[in-house]
Amino acid sequence: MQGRGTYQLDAAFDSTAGIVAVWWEKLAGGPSTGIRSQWRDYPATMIVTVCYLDGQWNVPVPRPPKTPYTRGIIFIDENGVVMQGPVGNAQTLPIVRPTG
Amino acid sequence: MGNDTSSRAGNNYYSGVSVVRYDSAFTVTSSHCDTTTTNGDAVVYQAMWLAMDAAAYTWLELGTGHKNCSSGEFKWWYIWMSNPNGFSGYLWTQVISGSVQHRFYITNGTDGYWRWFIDTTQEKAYYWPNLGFWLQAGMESYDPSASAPNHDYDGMVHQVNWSGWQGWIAGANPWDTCRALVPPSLWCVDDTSLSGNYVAANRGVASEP
Repeated sequence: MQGRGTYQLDAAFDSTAGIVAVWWEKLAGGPSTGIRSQWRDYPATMIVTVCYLDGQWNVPVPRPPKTPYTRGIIFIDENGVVMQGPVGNAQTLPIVRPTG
Repeated sequence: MGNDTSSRAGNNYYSGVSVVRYDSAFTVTSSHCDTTTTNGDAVVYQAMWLAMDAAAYTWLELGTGHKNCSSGEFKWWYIWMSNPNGFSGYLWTQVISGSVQHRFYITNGTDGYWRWFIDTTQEKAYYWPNLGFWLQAGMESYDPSASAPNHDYDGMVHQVNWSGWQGWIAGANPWDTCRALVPPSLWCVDDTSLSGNYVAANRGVASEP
């Protein structure tokens, strides 16, 4: 993260690339949208840690958002590769364990 | 995704936006720097947006993110989406190098899919059978000290209702070529005037309508 101030780690779940891919695709709109997770490019059994962090998330926006982005997800794979997941707030991005 | 017909209100149903620009080198001064594609204030974004509602609570985006760490410049292409389901985030990222020129465009097919292209490569597709409210292209950063060389946004064209590519509307925006000037703030201007496109500190865009 690149924001000023601090981030609070609210939760972290160990998962796998296969589960994270399916879960992320659901978050992004589901199979009917045709979306495909980049985690499908990795071995399905590879360990991926899903971290929920609360703080100020400065993302590229066309206009100020309706509500500030105060929560974000970071994915970290077993080799240390970091990918940013979705951002939102406690309402739009409640803490849940990823499921496939 | 549903069929939110409200996004078809008005006369401009944007079905495509295209910009030709360089992945220029930027300077970002924040001490919060790492070589990952994560967001934050130590990033300069060269982006274009297609708002899917009037307030732009939902949108499609294609751009380049830049960080400048002690290890050197770090940058990546990205596709971003905020949709009515509450999802807001990257759909795709790819770390890149070099500062060459590319054509970046987002276009909707009559099959309801939005597609993101860089040059001739389709990077992503997403089914969302609505068209856009308005367009915007430019730069954005949360770093108050971000700086960049002057550079141009060329070939700014759009599609309306699956039309052929056409220039941005002259009355709403005369900048077929948009020149971005930094620092101390981000501007997107034509060659002769600073008026019209300054939005806020560290944010400069050209937009229509």
